[in-house]
Amino acid sequence: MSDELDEVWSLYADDGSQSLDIVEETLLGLEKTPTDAEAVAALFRAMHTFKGNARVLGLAVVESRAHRAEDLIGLVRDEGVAFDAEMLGLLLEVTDALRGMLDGTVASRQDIDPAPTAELFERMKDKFERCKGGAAEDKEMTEAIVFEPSPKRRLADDPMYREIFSGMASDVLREMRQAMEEFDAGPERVTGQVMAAAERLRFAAEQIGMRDWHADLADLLATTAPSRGQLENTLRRLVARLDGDFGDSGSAAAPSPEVAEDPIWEFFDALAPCLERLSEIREQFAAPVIGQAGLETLVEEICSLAAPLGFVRLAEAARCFPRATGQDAFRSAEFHFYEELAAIEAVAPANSNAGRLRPSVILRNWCGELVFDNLLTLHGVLEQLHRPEDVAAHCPRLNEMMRFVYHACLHNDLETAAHLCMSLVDLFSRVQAGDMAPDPILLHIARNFVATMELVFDAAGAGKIPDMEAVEQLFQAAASATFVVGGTLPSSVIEARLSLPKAFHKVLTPESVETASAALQAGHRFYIVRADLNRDEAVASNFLAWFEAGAAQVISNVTVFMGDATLFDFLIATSLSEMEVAEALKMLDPQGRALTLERTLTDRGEADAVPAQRRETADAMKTAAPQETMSADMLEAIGEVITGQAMVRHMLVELAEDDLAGALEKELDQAGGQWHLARTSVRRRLGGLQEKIDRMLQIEGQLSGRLDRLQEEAIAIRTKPAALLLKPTAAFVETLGRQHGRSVEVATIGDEVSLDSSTLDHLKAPLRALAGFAACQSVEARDQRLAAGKPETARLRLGLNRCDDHIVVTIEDDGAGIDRQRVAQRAARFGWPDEPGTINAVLHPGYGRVTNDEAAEGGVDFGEILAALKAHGGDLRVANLPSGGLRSQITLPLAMVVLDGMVVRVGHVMYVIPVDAIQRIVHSGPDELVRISADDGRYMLRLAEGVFPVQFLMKSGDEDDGDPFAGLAANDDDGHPRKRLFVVTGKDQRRVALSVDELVGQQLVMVRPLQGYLSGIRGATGCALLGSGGVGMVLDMGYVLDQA
Amino acid sequence: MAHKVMIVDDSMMMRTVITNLVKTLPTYEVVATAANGKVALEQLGKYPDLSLILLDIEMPEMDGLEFLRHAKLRTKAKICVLSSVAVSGSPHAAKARELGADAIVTKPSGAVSMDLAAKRGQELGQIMNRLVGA
Repeated sequence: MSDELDEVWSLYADDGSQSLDIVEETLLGLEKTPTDAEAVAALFRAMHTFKGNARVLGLAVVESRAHRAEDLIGLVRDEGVAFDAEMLGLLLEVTDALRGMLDGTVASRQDIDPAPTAELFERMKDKFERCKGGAAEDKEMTEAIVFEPSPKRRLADDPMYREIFSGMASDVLREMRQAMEEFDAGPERVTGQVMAAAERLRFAAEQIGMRDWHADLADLLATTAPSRGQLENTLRRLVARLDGDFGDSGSAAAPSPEVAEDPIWEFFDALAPCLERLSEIREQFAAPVIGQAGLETLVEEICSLAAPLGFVRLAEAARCFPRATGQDAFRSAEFHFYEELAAIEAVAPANSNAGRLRPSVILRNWCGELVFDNLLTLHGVLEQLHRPEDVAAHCPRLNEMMRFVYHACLHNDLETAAHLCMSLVDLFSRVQAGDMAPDPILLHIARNFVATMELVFDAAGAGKIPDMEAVEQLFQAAASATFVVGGTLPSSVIEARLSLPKAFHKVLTPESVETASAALQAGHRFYIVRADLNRDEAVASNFLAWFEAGAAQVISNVTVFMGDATLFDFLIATSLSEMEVAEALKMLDPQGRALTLERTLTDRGEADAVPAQRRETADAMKTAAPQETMSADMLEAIGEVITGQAMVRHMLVELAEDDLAGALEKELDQAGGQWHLARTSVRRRLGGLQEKIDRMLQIEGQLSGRLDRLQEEAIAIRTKPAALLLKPTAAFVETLGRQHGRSVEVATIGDEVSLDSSTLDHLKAPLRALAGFAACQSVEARDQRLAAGKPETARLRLGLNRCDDHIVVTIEDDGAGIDRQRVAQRAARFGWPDEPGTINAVLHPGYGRVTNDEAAEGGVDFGEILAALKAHGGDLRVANLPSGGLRSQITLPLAMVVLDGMVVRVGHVMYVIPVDAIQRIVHSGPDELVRISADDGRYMLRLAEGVFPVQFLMKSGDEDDGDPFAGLAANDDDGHPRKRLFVVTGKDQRRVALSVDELVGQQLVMVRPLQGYLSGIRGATGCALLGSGGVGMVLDMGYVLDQA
Repeated sequence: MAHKVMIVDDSMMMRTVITNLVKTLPTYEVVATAANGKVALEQLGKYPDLSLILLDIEMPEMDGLEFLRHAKLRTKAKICVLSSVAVSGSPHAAKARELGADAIVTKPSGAVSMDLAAKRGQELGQIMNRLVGA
């Protein structure tokens, strides 16, 4: 190892010296020709190599300086920033510094003091930031200039478009010439073919701005029935023009010599018949089997064509065909084969490829056609990734599907989405390589990607411009998902989590990041210790020995200049508590002059430590990932509640310690037992007591307000609109329907209903399955619908509404429903009794998948869905509608519902009445109350709109035992007839007036179902946590009305 | 029989460091090194039984991505990009995946001290084993 180390250091010296020589030489060259792109590229590489070598040796300071220089050069290379004199000066200066550092580090084999180059580093940083800003400004300027009148640049002047047109013209002219060879056999047919070809070329010429071409072709097309001579003359003229404009007349008749000589295009020409046969084989056999006739021979032919060119991977891909044992395997083999072909095409000369076999085009078209199937598969694969072993098992499939989608993106010119596919492939591959469980953020990004791309492809397929904003946001999110996948936190996250002082920003080396990351994961504590190591050698030695003994780890250190003294701030990690660290430092430095515990750092945890870029990304993803974290307001409210609670406690303790009786007795004693003499001092003392009580009441009021705020925040966090479930399901179903040849229009009802997020989660899978079934099985194909006299587009309704303590989701379509006869036959085979007129058998466990077309794949197992719903206390009903179509109805109890309720008090009990059930609130006296003798003496409330039965929630504490309104006829203290509060509630056509003692107020409350022995209570759907901290019973309005 | 490895990196020091790391792995043998993609491509024909290529990205003459584009057609060897610029999810990493990189690993850092070299060697070895199915 020692020899190897010597060699490495020696190479570092040599390599470094050479790199810096190149840097200097190139810089001097750039001084004369600052726009020499090749020189800039060479400069970048040399600095990059120098930086990389320093990094390998763990020379963080050297690396950081070289890195900053590399960043500057990168601006010139990649972002078009001008190479100016200031940059030249800085780079020459840093090169000199790096040369000194090279010598120093080679001699000491240690990193060097950052201080001497700190100022240069800052100047480079400043330049970098100014240039970066300048680049943005330049861009803005360029964009602004676009609006200025400027001579319009023709596409015909663009070499790329000229090349495209040249290829196309060459092709079309060849086609026209070939057609003309058969003129005698069918003049009209050939004329038609030539004119059609001419029209294609004319259109292209017009689009690109090839005016002469356009004029010639337009002349020909203007002729009603051109003669053979006219056609040939035009053809000759165009061939001459092709030669004149592009020097490529030969290609009109035959492939250009260049193309003919290129071995790859020749290879593709030779391969074309093989690919046609491959396509025939795929179509002939739904499920190719091993040893299938012709396949082995075909593969051997392909391999013999590939061998001379050394295309070993293509041959390997071809040999997978005979081994494919099913449609999926064959499709997979075909995909890999075409990917190899596309990779070969990518290294072939691009010019004059027109009219040739283009594997990349075939591949992209194919992937474009299958994209919805593949997105569905991808969705399924993502749902299976939970543990590291899941990743190992499914990652190859996931990667394959992602690559399918990647090519589909390219087919639709969706470049950002294509890059995102590959970023996700990269991220998942790294998860697999690290034997890690998939990170939730990564999974979230991937799932959103699938959902977003469904919509994007859907829009693209419908000829609309897809909204790519969500894709862009996901792309940013994927780029910042690095640390999750890498396992090690990036320095920015560590800086944020520990709230590191600014001096420590950007100084963490990869090694220190790794150490800090491990310490964070181990739950260690972090401290900053200020050390004056020059003051006392013994203390310095003890301090370093302390680390060597393993009591603590040094993460990093920065230099602090204080007057003439040079101190160091050490960032350390240890399992020791703050007190233990302080004691240890005292042991190491009994005088307490050289070592000081400067600061204890608190790990703020992952949630608070998201770097700015990630935070922005997270914000951007809010629509896709509803925020479920505490807001700043919420944290503030908690702080206020804690403070208030501490104040109340303090005052209560004071009161408890205050011996009021003793104090009063003392006052009285001092007054000689004469009350009138003691009265003033007693009053003062009692006044003080009253003041404290008033103060506590005031605080209690504030606390109550804060708790209301907290509760509303908590509710807002948990609550989601049902639209989050219904809208994506609608989009999914319409897309799915289209894939299955159905045109389905989905209407959603109840988007605005607020539900707890867990309820939405429980509903997602069954709703998708049932709605998918409706769209693809119950709804007929377009032609069948038209034949049956139905509109081509089917209607599907997704309705969600809340009924007391449960929600009901209804899926209805106007299709054919489920074939009842088939259900009955199948039920009979199982020996189940038939339920005439129903299709309930499909819900029976073991019935299996229901499909209207047993030959087709798909279908849904209603029994499984029912079982899953029952696990959450839910239910499922299905029925064919009399007018045709299917209705599926899911019911699910509300795990926790948020209710807008009116809190009322009756006696000492709080009740919550759902606001949407309240008709009006009245204050009524005896005149409005009618007692019905025939109805067991029952009271009725008579209002202008009608007479309503009065319902008592419980016996009010104010009333006599026998009749709650016994005292109602009497007057109140002011002599007015006594009035009572009634809340008139109703549902459907029923009404009831609830008698209450007090209206506490309207508020959003969180309702939990009654559990245990409470679950037997009738008339209440749950208990509500009130803002005041108390609990209220939420009225089951259905029950209350039934009792009225 | 040991798996044959080619190292492609423009830094001689880096080639040496990586060679030293691979040497710590008993089932691998470095049979070739190249200072850029062009040289590596020329050498490829000499080693038909190559198992693995460890590839840098930033190189003169022909960079790692261009090498990848051509080499993937003509070798069955697995290609592991070993680069400091191809960090997770970055455009470089995505491009490398698009061109068929079988693995992407960040260049070893601090790999010259005794313990870190062993650790980095072990990490690289795990990835290499996975790629060649060892």
